[in-house]
Amino acid sequence: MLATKFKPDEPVVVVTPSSINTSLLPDADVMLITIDKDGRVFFSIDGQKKRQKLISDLDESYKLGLTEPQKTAFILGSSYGTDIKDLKRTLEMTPDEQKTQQKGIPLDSANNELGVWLEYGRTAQAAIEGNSNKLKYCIKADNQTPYPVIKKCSIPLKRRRSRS
Amino acid sequence: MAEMDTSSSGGKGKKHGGTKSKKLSTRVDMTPMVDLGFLLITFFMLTTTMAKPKTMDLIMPKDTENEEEKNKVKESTALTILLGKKNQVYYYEGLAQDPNASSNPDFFQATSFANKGGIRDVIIRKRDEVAQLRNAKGQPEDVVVMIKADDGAVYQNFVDILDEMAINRIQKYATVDITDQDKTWIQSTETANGIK
Repeated sequence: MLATKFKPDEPVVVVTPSSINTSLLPDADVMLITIDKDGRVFFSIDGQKKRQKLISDLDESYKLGLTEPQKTAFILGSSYGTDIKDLKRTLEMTPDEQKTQQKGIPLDSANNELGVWLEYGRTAQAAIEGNSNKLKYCIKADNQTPYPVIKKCSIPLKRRRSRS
Repeated sequence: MAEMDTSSSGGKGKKHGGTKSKKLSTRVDMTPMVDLGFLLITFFMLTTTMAKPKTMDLIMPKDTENEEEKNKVKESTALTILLGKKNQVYYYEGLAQDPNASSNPDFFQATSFANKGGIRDVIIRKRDEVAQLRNAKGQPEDVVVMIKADDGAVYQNFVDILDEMAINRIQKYATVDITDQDKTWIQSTETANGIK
């Protein structure tokens, strides 16, 4: 009991709609896209190894210049929803600041970073687990999330199996 | 509370035997109750699972530009459901490809997510109607539900309508982009019903 750590806080409170479905959110091999009621989009993937791979890949390709403590913060953290270029600044914030200051992953057609996150998530899954076939894509959104945001999120998910 | 009670056996064989009623102790042995209490606590502690979010499967179609790969929906088997703001649901039968369809005042209908007299009844009615039809091979037709969400709809509406599909065992349904014509109809119905 003394050795356990609490799950990292989700940056946003999301009240999900009730549903008749009984299948549970899987524990492993899952990428979770969280959308709050204002339409901010957050991304997370399970597994510390995968998160490590994902953040080092992102760091490398986008030249973010992340330090080791910042990477550790990402690995141990939960969902992040920010511009990739602002990731360094976000990882320096305290959890409370992260809750209020993250603006969500941009979804514009010109700059659809959710697709980037999904792509890196898949690469990380493939690198750690061998292949990315088992990976599930889940959308978790608030009751009051406007539908157009959901639609925009589902565009990078097309051709892939997704859960909501 | 949980000590052994041995005093009750002391009354027997003493001098005043018979004349005085036996003094029984009023103390109750609590040990079994406490045992059971701990057992239950342990049991529930070990067997509980934290509430986990529920999920539903949603299969998205392949993003294709190739017309031949796209499925064609027959006008007679289609039911179009539109999600508007303030949890309003609108529906019409068919795909509204005929521009004159809207001349019929009963064509475009408003309803709600209510259990009775809501969209569920509409889906069931249409499903049973379409099941009477036969396709070219003589098999019963399946209803195809087109779900179009307007910009005012929220995620809850979308999940609710997908739930309805599961509840009514609709095998074929698709989420489709809303057309300008649909938006106009929704707007005029909203104005008529006083929904802002």
